[in-house]
Amino acid sequence: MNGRFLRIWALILAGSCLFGLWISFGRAFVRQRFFAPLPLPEASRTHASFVAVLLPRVSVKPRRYAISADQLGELLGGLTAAGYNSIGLDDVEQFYARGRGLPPKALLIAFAQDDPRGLEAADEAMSRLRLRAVAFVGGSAAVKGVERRRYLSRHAVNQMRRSGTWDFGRAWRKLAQGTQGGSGGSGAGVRAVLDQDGGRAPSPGPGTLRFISSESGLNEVTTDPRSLKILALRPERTPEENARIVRMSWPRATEFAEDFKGAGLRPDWVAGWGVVSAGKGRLAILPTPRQSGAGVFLRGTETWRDMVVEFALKKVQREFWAYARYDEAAGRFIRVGARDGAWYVEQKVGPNNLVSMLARAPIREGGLPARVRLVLKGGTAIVHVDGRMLFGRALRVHPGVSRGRLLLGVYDARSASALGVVTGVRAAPLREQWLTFNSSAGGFDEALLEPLREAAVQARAVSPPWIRVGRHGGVSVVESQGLLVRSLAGFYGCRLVPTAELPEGSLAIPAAAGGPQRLAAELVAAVRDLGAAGLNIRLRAGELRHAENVAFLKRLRADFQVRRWELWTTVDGAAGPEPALARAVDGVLVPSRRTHAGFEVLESVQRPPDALAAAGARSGTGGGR
Amino acid sequence: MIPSQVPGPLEPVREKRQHRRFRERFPVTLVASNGFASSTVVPGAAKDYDAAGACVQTRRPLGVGDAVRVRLHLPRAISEFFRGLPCELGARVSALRRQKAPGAPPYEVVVRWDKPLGEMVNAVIASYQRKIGALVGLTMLAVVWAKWASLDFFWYAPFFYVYSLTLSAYLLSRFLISWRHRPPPPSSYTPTVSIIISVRNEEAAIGRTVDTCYRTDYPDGLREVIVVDDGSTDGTAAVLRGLQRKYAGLKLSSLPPGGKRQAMAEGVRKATGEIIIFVDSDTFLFPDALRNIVRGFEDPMLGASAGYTEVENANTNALTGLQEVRYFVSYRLLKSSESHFDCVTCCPGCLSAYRRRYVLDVLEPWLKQRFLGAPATFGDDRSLTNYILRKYRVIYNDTAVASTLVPETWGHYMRQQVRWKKSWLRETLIACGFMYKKHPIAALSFYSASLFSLMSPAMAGRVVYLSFDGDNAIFLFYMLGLILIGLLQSLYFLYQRPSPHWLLGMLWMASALLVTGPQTYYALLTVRKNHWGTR
Repeated sequence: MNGRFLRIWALILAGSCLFGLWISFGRAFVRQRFFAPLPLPEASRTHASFVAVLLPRVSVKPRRYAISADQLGELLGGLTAAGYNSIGLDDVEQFYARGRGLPPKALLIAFAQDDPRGLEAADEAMSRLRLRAVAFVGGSAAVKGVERRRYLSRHAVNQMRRSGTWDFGRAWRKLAQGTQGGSGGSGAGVRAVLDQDGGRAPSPGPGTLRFISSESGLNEVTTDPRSLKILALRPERTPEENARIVRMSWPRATEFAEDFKGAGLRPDWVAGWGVVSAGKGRLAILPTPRQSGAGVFLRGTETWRDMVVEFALKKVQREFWAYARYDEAAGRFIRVGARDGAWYVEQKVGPNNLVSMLARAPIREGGLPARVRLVLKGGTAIVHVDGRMLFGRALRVHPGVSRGRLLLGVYDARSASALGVVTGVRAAPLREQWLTFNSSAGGFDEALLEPLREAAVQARAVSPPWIRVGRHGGVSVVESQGLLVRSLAGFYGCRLVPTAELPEGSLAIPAAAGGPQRLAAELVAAVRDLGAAGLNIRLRAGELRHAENVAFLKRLRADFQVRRWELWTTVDGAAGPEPALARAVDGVLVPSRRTHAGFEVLESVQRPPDALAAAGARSGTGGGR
Repeated sequence: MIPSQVPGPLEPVREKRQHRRFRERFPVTLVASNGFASSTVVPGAAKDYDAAGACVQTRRPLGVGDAVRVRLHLPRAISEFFRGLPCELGARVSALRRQKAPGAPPYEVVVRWDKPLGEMVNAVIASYQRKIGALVGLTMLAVVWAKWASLDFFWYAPFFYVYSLTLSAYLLSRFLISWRHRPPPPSSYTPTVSIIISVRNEEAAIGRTVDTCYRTDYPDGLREVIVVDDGSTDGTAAVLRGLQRKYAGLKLSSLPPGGKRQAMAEGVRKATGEIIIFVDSDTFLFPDALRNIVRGFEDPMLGASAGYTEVENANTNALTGLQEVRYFVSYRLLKSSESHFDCVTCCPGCLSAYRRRYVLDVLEPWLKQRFLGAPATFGDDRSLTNYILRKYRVIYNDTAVASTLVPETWGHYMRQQVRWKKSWLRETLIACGFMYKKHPIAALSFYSASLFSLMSPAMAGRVVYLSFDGDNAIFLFYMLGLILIGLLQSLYFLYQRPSPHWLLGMLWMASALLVTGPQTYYALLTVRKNHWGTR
């Protein structure tokens, strides 16, 4: 063979090697370095909720029905900067199986696509930000495991797995083709199933997570791991809007107010059905020509229990309702609204129960527009119209109507004739706000009664200073203004938790009071005598530096928990949460700035983590935040 | 079936004219412009034509001096390969004669071309080729795109994609290399040639085959024709005797039935020419075939040269039309590419020339060739080419043209294909032993093509299996690739032949995939069975 031929052979060989290298390292997800996601510190795993988001198809260049790689990077970068912690399937599995906590702002990022280019683009962004994600891929046959997918190569899947960034699940629609009559759509090794068909997928086997498309991606400890919710982000929205929607998926903890003066419906609202139009200072809700009703709900209210909802109803045709604690799956809600010239409050306690009326009052002449306020506080509903309490009493709400989203809706039996126009909405979860009185005040004059009633409407507890601890021991009970306070608490549905005031200047409370056992026994007896739901001990911030005080509170709380009483502490002069009290009391209150001559409002600043989870499961307030 | 019309040059009309005039009737339409947006259309028929003008018989007169556009489909005498191409030529009426013969059109319009006929026809052909060439280019880009897009799935089935990508690269490279192929330049080199025709039971065609040999444009004293009858049992012997009476120099030899290879060897022994030219008994030489096929033999290293073969009965049915495309692709694409590196692996028996001296050197081993213990009795052409190719250059010369009869029934065609595949298997295995010494690109192409032929049916099966398994992407890309490659080859045929048969190229792809491809394995299993197969 001559030298020229040898040179050509060498060139061909080199070209083949270059192609081999290119196809191996330049494409198909073969990476020379792996970027493991940032580990989450164990100490940060103190939360009990996460949001799952399903990202749209990713395209390298901007395309319709897809989010571009740049937009994805922007969105993920925004979420990272906002402090979200991405979690993987193992975090979710351990959360539900073993109760392992989640980090704050836990976010499960998922993609439902097999397209290698899209996942490659997503992978770049994920690796850059060191986030984790789940890829839900279609499988052609359940028995062959997740590698038998349509487009992604097995090699690519392995490489993505090795990076630590990606977990894999199955998209149910494609899976269904290969699992007719199978074992619920979970093949060997499938850890999660995505059901984008509204829960029609067969229930997966034990240990398999199932994600169902939902308007909300929030999942809590009480959520069934086989019906987890996942929020699908829409590609036509800007990264900022999508990031905002992710943020709004967590329960709202702050007040939402909207006067509809901006252009269009803000992403806070989700039009459930019918036509919802916002702008020019009003929100119009009306059905489409073939519908009889229409509705729009406020994002981030799915877990709300106690709340204040206020809306200005300008116009109504047939029926307009403001639903609260609306749980579509459980068929439960409470609603206030206008129908046939009257205000109604109604509730529905289950899917098989009829709507029952709680109260009715006629709308007075010229009663519209009207400003309606609904306060839900535990088992109590208080309705005000134009500042006046409707029905003259607080209404009892069925305990089953526990939590759910806030929704505005219209209805008329005739198609397309219902209408509701609202000019403003304000909604806020009811804060842990207590009402207490100045021990020096002898009574309430008429001028004080109105603000007192207003404060009582939104107060969860009334905490009169009825218990006093003497300097040398001894607990005295003085039930001043007893009738008024008890009436106020009963009328507005507030718990009665009296305040125990300690002698001034006693830094070590039990010692000053004659020993911890004696003091505890006397406090228990006082609470029992008053028939209260607990005790609120008022301290000064400096007193918390004494370990004896904290130890005493812990011991007292243990006594109270046996009796199902609460132990709270009001700390005067505290700048914020007191770490020393984290597990010593059920909650810490501080005086708010809204003080009046005869009473003051206390606000919660701290609750212990275990109480947080328990309360989240029990009442739905503040879970995960 | 033997076509009634004999191909070849039309008889020139011997008159005192500046140019050779050809008498060939074909429909012509004269369009005379009467001014803006108005014209007179006069249908007629060409009576004769030459490079300067034409005589057209019409039923309506036209004014002398009128400018006309002559619409016609290119007749065979103007362009053999582009016959039928519609064109419109500019001319002016130079004379108008009245005809008195009964039944004949009453007028004869004599037109004078605006430019020399060849110049105008070349412009029309160039325009046509530009358009089709653009389509070929677009299809090639589409193939490249499809392969590029399919790279995403490379690691899904790496083996399949190595095959797919290499095959595409191989096919595209055939286009590029064959584009650069040039036949040997014309020269005054006229060696003595011996045409060897081995015949068996070919009474219908042998007469015409010998006729075309003698009608070639080659000096009589330098040409000899040898016909070896391999024990024909029909009227071939009688036809041959008649031919001997007609052509005194025709050498006849009759053997007992021993196979084509024995007959060819007998012809070689009897031959005296420096170059021997093998012609099949159902192949008809074009007039300049001999003069062109000896081009390049000045180089002593040139051992053999393959000519181009048209399909004579292409218009008989779809199968023959399909084979026209197949022959075209095989010659113009594959052999052209091989010829670029002087490594043509098969000089077909239809028309190929060998240097006699080199053939005599390998005659005995060629005659005694055995494969897997059985005598090799078919694939003589490929076998002889292999013997020559070991030491010498073997080229393809597309200026030497013949036409041949191809099978007209599927049964006949399938048997022929099996025979060819058997010889391909045997000779490919043999050629593997020395091809690596040739030009690397030729060697790589040879080894790749050999593997492709063996693997393609298995790959098709694998793709079908994957599609049943629910993975459609590979199936779709495979089908897209097949369609594009088929379209590419068909368009390339259309580029050179304005024939409606081009669409049959797609059918050929399908038949290659479904029928003749799997035949490879059948041929592999029955490679030791020796019989003619086609007769």
